[in-house]
Amino acid sequence: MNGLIQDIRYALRQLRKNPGFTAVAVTTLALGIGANTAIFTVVNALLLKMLPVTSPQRLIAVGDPTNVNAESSGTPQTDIFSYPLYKELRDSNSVFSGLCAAASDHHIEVETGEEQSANESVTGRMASGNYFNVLGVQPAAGRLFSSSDDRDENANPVVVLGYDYWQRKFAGSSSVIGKDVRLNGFPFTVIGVAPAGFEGDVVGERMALFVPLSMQPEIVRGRHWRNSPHVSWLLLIGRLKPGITPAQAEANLNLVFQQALRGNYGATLTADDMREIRDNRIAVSLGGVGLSDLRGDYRTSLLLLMGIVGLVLLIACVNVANLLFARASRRNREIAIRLAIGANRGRLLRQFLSESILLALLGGGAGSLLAIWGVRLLVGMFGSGTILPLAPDWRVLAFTTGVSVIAGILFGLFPALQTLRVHVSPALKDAGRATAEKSSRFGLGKGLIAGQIALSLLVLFSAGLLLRSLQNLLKQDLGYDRTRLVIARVDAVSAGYTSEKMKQLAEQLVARLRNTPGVRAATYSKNGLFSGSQSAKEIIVPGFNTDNPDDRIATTDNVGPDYFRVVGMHVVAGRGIEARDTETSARVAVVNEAMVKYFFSGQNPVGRQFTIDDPDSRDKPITVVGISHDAKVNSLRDPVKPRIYLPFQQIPDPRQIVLEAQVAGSPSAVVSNVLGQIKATDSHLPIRFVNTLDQLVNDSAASSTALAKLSGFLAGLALLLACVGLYGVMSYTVAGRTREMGVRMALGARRSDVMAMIVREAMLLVAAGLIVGVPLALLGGRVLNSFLFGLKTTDPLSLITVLLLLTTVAVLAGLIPARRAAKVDPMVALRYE
Amino acid sequence: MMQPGDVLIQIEDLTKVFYTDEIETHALSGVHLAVNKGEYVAMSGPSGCGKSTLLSIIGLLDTPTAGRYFLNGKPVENLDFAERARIRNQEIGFIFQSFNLIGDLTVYENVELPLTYRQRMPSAERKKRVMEALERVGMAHRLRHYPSQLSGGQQQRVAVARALAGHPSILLADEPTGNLDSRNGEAVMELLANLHKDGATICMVTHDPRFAKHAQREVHLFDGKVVAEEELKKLMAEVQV
Repeated sequence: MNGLIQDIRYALRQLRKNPGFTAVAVTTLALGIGANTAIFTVVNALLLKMLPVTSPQRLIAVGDPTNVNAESSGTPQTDIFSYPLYKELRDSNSVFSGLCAAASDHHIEVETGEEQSANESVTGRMASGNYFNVLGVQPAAGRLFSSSDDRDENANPVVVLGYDYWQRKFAGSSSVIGKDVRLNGFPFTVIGVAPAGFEGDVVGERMALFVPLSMQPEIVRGRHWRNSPHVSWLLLIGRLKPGITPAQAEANLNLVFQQALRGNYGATLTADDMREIRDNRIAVSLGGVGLSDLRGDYRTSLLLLMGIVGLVLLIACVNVANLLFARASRRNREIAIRLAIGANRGRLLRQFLSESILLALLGGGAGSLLAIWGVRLLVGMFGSGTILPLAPDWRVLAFTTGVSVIAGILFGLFPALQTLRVHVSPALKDAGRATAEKSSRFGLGKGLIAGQIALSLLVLFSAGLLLRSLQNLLKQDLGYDRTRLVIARVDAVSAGYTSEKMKQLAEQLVARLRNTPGVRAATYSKNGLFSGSQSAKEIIVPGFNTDNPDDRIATTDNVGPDYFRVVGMHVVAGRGIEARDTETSARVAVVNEAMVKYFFSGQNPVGRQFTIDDPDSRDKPITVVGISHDAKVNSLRDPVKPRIYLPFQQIPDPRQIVLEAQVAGSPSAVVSNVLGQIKATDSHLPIRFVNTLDQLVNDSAASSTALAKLSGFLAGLALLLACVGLYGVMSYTVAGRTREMGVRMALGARRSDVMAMIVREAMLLVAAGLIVGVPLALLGGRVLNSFLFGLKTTDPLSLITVLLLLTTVAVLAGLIPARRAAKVDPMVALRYE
Repeated sequence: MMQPGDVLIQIEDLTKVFYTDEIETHALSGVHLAVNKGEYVAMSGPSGCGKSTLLSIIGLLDTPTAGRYFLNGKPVENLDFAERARIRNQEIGFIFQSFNLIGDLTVYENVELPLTYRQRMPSAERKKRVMEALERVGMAHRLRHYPSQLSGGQQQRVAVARALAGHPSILLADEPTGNLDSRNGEAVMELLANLHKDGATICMVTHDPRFAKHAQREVHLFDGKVVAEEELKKLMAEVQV
């Protein structure tokens, strides 16, 4: 212990005495470790951090924990749950001490009744009565709701405030307990405040308030989901009984599910429903980390980024290792003395590693500061509404420390081992002779540089692939002009509109939009383009036979008159949906080319009929009246699926309206006009969003954009570090060969000969790196396969571009020391040493 | 006649050959040497005669190509690195021509350094030994100084203190006065003489006959061989001719 303290004290002194070396090494490591810490902080917040609840490791998420904001009508689901199925699982399982259910609503209008307080729209959680009890959460003020508050529909209008919202909106005053607030126009009584730090069970969202599930009809107005087995909208979290494992819980839940299908729950389902879900399995996962849809979107991207920053750190380590190699050759004598007086190599190795680990910890400390800035940059990729628990915890601290120590060993070990190979007697007698060993000793440093260039090529090629892929993704032909549309979604059901009134409302809204300045044409639909909502139906096409019902699924949308012209989708045969396609007219549809190819074997289906395979529609054949050009409507990445466009006016229950406005100039300039027209039509109509289609499309590629941009940034960092490394090694080599340069020039070498020699040596290193790096990059590219769009993992353009970039920058890095070598004065150089 | 138990260093037919790409250099050829406990031996000879190589082998800094070497009656030519390091640390004290103090350590820390490489030596014991050694060489008043703040003579005294601190069986001095002026050189030689008087065994390499005379016995080397003084004179004369 005493020896270790001495080693650390000596190491500190060494670092203090060499401020230039220390600054360069710490900065290099700070960049590498900081990037790792930043990415890990986000990984930790999104994937690893436990909810601030009692024994979170005993919580189990039931269903798909990434399906947080999903809501599905029709066939019952088992990745999200209906309330009746939740009740079955809750009441009949034998593995949980409690099983709670919850769903979010992002548009709860809060009126506090105070004059100075403006209404605001917040996100809240509708939760089963046992929610707080199962999670093990205690109130900060008042009380939390319990099962007795969640028995009868609309019977208990109580609300628990989130701690932050309570602080912000009510200044943390306990006088708010017992007061009434209106949520979506309905009075609720504030009964308590959730504890500080608890923001709900959804990672990435901060809940402003919590209400019992029984109040759903007043929160999501116009919809009665609670007793419907056909509306799946809940995710479940259970607390394991002592001694029960997650696997046992999963087995028991599936047993209960199968029993429920044979019991009262099954009796409420149709034969089609039963056929669809009887083979489903309910999945469970660890619930202590909370639920999150971001996890689904960003998990693999973050893990990939972790890999890339790992490589960047490795490159940084090579730079520091080379600095240590250079420094070690100046410490030969010291090492020889220590060896002479009896230090064994193990002890000296410990001393060197103490120095390098200390250096790495300093780099880690500085890197942690850089990570604060890096994390802010990273969080931007999730969108402005995302709130992640990013405060550093023991895991981040342990990670940064661990990475620092590993980095310290990595970059310190080889120089240390190399240093310990010093020949004691010559080093003690003549320091000059030790200098003669420099070049051979630095051979390993050059080898490391070649390795560093290989790693840089891998990082650059990966980033190149991701950037080219992003370019392909965003520049692809969507089948319409994305730059000329403004999209809006309104929730007419919540505002109390019946189906009939909603159809009239759609016409009124479009009529107003058509007269809006900047708007050329307008239409409406149920799902629209990139609005986050989609529908699919099983269909029966005469002549198309398959045993698997899943093979008969087509995506659908219900569109208003003039839809194809307004959005710019080309109708390649027949006609589009028109004003004559009313509720009472013949049932018609426009299908896309993918549908023609898949269901009609590529033959023109205009005039042919098909039916939707559900009990209400089987006897109502639909006639194909047109074919539209294939278009991407929901995802930039997914291939175009068979799609049916049905007249909006012919559906019995539209449920929502999406408005499409084609604009003459810049769409963003028209957004506020569109918003104004909707409000002018009905000021109480909830508007879910108004945005340019361009922005919606870009948002749908947010994770790809973030991944490509971040990997591009990291590749730039890797390139910079590799070039600094190359520059450092070449500078050191030149400095150690001043006499040689002098001799060469004395013998008649021109300055250009000397320069060419140094550049050639630098290029040899680069070539060695590229020879290793190209196969490495091509292998690494395979990992990216699932991230790429429209290009192969061996994309030659990306490879050639990064090879040229790396070579050019490397030549520049080699030129500076080469110019210095060429400026050597032979007379001075020959007196050198 | 020397008693076997008195012999500290016993070297038999020792050979050291250095190999470079194309040249074989015989630094030592068939050297026989015995040094008794408490003896003060000077090794002298012209430059390149192999005296420093012999001292390096005696100090276990280098290994012989052939021959036997017994230290304290035990063969040491084939020991592994760790064992050689342990013996160097506990049995041998080095004094170099160029002092070889570590510039980043204070006087106290330089002297303490060999003791820090010993397992389980309490810090109080280390401190006691360091202070004793520094007082012995008259440098106890410069504990916190760095080598660069000392004169050459003072640095060599600190180096002697470092060699003494481990209570070694033998002190090996390689041209200890080579980098000093005559006054400081004499002072160091006096210090070595006093140490010898107190029982230290010393092997000193020097090419200066004035300093060689401080030793009890002088071993002459020429072309890697031990020769008698008369023969050395003859050989030197031949070389000059």
